[in-house]
Amino acid sequence: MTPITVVIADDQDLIRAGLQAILATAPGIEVVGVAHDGGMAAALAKRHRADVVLMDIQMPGVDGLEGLARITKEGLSSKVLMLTMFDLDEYVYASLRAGASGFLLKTTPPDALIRAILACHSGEVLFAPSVTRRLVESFVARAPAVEGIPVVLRNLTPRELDVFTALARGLSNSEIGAELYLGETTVKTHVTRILAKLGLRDRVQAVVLAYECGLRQVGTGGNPGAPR
Amino acid sequence: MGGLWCSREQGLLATAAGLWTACFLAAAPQDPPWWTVSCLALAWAAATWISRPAPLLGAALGGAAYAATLGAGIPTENPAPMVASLLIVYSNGRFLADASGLLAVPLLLAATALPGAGASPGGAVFGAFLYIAGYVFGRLVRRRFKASAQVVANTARLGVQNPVQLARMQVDAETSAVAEESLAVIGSSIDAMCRAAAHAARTLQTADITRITTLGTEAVGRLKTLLVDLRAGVKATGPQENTLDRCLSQKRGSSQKKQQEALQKQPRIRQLLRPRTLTWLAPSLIVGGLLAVETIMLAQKIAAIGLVTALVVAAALTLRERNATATCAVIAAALALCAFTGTALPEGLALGISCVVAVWCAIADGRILARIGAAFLAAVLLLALAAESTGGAANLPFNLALLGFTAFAAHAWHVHGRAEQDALTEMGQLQLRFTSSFDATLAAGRLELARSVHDAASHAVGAMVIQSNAALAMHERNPEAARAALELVLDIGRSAGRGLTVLKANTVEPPKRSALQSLQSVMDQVAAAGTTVTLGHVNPVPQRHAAVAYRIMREALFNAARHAPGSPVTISIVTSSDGSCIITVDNSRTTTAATPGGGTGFGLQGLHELVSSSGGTLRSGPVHDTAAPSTAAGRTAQGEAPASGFQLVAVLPAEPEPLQQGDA
Repeated sequence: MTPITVVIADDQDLIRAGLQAILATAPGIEVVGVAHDGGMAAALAKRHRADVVLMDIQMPGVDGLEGLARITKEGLSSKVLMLTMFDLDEYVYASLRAGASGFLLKTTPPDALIRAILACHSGEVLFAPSVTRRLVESFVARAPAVEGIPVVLRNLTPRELDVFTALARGLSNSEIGAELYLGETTVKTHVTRILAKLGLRDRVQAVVLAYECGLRQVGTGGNPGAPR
Repeated sequence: MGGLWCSREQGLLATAAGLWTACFLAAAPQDPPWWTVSCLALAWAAATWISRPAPLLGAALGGAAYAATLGAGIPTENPAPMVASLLIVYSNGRFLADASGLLAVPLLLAATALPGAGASPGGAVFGAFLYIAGYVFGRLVRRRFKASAQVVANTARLGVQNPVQLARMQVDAETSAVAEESLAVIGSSIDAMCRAAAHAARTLQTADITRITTLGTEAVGRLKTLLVDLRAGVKATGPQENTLDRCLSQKRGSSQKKQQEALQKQPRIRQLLRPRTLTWLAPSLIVGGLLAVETIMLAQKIAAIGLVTALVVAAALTLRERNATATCAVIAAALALCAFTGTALPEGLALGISCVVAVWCAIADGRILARIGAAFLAAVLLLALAAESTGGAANLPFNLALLGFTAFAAHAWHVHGRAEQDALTEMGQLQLRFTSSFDATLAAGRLELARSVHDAASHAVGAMVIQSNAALAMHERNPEAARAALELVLDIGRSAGRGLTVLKANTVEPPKRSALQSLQSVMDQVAAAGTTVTLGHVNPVPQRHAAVAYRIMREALFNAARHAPGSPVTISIVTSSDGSCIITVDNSRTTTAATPGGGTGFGLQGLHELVSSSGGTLRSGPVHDTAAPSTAAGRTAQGEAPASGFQLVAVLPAEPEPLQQGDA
């Protein structure tokens, strides 16, 4: 199995070195580049076609959000995990909206860090689902809960809508499969198709979209498409 | 009080009252001698004049003048004292803060109770009603003027304050408070982490290494709480953001259209039953009641048409808010009907009140159509009176005057209402501009602060935690590398001072400058924001209290600039020989109305804690300055408490108490 390629971006050399040392202990992960600002991170991600970028939010010059914007604008397939000292909601939410796949505290213990990278890369699981959902919930300018199906989701098939709703609650593929009585591969196919249809980068963006378009009962797990 | 005794308005009103009295006395059938006429006219004019600065005194004088009038043989039905009495009761309502003005009514009417005055009970009731109506009108005007004065004061305040400067001051205050605390948190956590790292380097046990990261994570958590609390706490003390709302809520009855809109939003039944909207029904009920009372009291036989007319008129009053023109038209029609069929008009007061109310609503409405309606009603009423065979013509001048007076007052009310709306809109815009400017500067400052705290934390604590995490990941497979990482943690800890310079620059360093010197920049800022600071009697502050003294004075100045701009602030410091020190910041003579309950702000609370942890006491709060000269904004009415000020007194003790260690 090819190792997961990672680019590390942080303006402090001690932190870069530390992260490198931690990731070096993980067998399936390879650090292909270290950057000290967002622009360099985007360039490295592009050059090495990196799978994951660990991006510090606050860097002088081109900061993390700007670097993230460049990566998404160029349509790179790299998933970006934002690094921050404080999970202060505004910072983090801004980066989620801008296309990040998740965020991590710099003080995260090494095993959690490695798990996050793996999960993010596989796209199977939403990292820290409850935290991410709480954030999105508290931030999105919520459209008033719409009766029935929001416009933006109209071109999903009913099954896909079920999967989308479960996805928006932060469930992993296996959990979705368990809930909807589907096999995991089927779920995976649905998820890929849904993300493609809605033009979303990853599951985190699905959570954001669900809240923003006012999909009812995202938090409580009801099914808006079912007859009442 | 000087200005109130002599103004052009007063002169005009007193002259008008005197002239009216003179005219009616001279025309009275009793034919009093010219010197009686002039004396009485002067007496009434004087009473009217005095009722502005001293309402109750004016009422007493009016009562005396009335007694004199009656004593001169003029009957109570003569309308000579009417204008003067109405002006007196109006002044009592308008210029007295409490309800003691109601005493004016019995004072004026007392004369009619004198034996030999020949007053009928009906006349007394009529008089009482009339005077109470005048008094109520005065109260209404008073309430309205208070609201306007508030708007003017707020606009003045907004004009004086500089939002950017104020925001910068708030940012500085927040920044230094947060910077100090952050430094304390970071400093102590670095020490603890270094000790743990030294220990872990020896043992290389998972538990020991994990201890380092736990300490780091705790410190980060506390820093985050600092930033979050800052945002939450200061949001509640935003600049006068609720002033606009308060002014708007005081604008009851400003525009009848607004009332209509609000009414229409509710279901019909609820509309009818709400107490406030029962005022809609009140005049009709009063008129109906009066009719009943008059019928019984006067024992007159009222023809059926007359009764129906009366009821129609009473019912028409319920329309007055929706369509005053219709009310006028209906009443005019009813009167015309009476006149044509030759029935007597329903007597006196009820009709009078109905017409007055209808004319008032029509003119205050402001539209041309409504005014035409009012004029039409007045014309029909006067014609009907003139055509009445039972001596209605004698009442003509009285009714004319009454309607004229009402129309004039309604017009003034309407014009004033429009001016008020404009002022309110202007104030709203000023407020918006102020708030957006303030918020923008504040947000920028806070972002800067968050960034510097983030950097400081990241540089020291963050790096240490990550290196410890690296050691944790490596210690089993590569103990040497792990040990090297832990040594690095110690290095970082020792040299952490570098990254903290930005934070340090934001704190006060007392040993370098005296409290007053540090304060100079704050005083300049405050002056730029529109508040003048004067130093009263000032001794040097003992060095150990320098930092606290600086914080106290800065916070007090800041509050003054925010809540009572344009007013002078005086600082005085008294140090006694035993080393204790009393600092007073005085802001008692405000020239603009201060926001009531201006909030303590997160700074004042922190000050209380800071001072008590130094062993001192802090007293702060609003004061009422009874000796304040009545300035333009303060001159609302006599007897009203002028705008309050603020005073802060801090006593710092002689023997320094050991500083309590805060949560560091």
